[in-house]
Amino acid sequence: MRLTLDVDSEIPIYQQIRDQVVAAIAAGELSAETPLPSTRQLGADLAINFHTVNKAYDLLRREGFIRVNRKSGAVVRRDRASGPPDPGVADAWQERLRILLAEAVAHGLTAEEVHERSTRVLDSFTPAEGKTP
Amino acid sequence: MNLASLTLLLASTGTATAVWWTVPALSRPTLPFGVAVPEGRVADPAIAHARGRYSRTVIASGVAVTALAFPLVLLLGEAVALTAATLVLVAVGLAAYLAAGRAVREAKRAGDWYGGAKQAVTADLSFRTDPVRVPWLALAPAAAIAAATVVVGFAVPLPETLPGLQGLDLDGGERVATGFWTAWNPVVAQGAVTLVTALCLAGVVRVRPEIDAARPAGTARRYRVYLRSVCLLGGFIAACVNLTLLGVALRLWEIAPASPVTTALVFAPLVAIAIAHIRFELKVGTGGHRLPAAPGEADEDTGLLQRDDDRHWHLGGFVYLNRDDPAVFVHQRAGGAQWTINLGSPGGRLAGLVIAAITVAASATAALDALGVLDLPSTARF
Repeated sequence: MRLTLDVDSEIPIYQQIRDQVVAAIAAGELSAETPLPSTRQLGADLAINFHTVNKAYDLLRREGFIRVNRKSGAVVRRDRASGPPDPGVADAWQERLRILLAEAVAHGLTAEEVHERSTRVLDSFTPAEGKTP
Repeated sequence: MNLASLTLLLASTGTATAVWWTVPALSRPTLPFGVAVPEGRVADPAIAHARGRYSRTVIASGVAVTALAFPLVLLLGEAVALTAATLVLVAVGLAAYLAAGRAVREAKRAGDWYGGAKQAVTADLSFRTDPVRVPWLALAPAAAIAAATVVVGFAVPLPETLPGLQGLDLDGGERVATGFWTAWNPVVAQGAVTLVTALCLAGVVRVRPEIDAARPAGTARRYRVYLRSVCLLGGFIAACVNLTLLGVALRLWEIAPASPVTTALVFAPLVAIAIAHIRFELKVGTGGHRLPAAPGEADEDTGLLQRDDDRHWHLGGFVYLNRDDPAVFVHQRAGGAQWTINLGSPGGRLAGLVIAAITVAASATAALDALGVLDLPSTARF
């Protein structure tokens, strides 16, 4: 997996790291039990303060995507093959989706267009045949 | 002035001139004179002009200083003239290099080369989850040569006194009594060379990979090849140094005859190191930038530009200081495959302080010796 940070973006660095790790899990680039680099190592590889990486990992941990322990470091906790989501996750996600859909409707996107775009994005997360993580 | 003095003078000034002349040629094309430039600007006339001016200055100063050093040898002696000539060339080369860097930076600023570009930085996590391992077998020849030296040392009876290893035939100087430190120091040095090389290689594979945000897949592949090549080169260098030390041991133990031919054979592996290093820089280059592109890699373009981090680099790309960067060692911008310390990190600051303390102590000791306050043992000379 490659992690690219847009240094001029308005999105905070820790949020960019969090988003790309989530997208990589969804796309199958990171599978369950895959170790992530230590905060210090990833900070050094991106030339950013390791507290920023810490913040991203903490967010990912609280959201249930990774687990962090002293011995094994940060490890991907689950992926699409790990079964149904934890209780409450779907509802919380739907709350956030509500805002996204509200933006689409407010901007005049039709229901068909919203469905079509959502399907396209979902399809992009389906691992291609023979694709290695 | 004898032949040895003349050779030493020409070798010193020639080396200083050649090193400065090659530094810009060895640097990555996107980092001319330590200044980051976008890939599309590497052929900019301002950079070509700065290169030409720099090369002319370095060569002219090399010729001029060497010519002036000859009368200086007769007036002030060989040691003073040689040191002065080399220091002047180092200073002039650095000044020319910094001036060229300023010219490129000025052109970059005036032309707004990064204007409107989306700057980014990329990390390839595979270097951490599937790191390049040091091929420890590459150090086997160096270890085998050291082991062979030990076997020879035990198999052959050592003389009661050992030669001083001075002069062109390595036989001059005062003879010393045979003891552990006098007889076995080449073997101790071989062990140290092998161990230090192993530690350096273990560190090198952990340094931040040089991934270009514009071409992350291609640069990551090349960087892996580069790391493996660095490890093989490191093993070769250690083997050659140990081979030279084996030759020194054979001469010290008076197994090899004293003659200029023996001396040439003893130091021949060091020439092989220079050739291998030059070949590495020409074929692979820092980060593997000279390696040929794999099929499809030439078209790779993410539309991003590698972040311009000039503000963290000082002294023409030799010194790096970034407090937000936790990396202790990073690839140096100037020259070929070299690494430098991040003086902004806590570990780097400590290492910088230690190096500064050693430099100050060595300079002060040499100055006190020159003034006659201290009486240091004289250095063996050819």
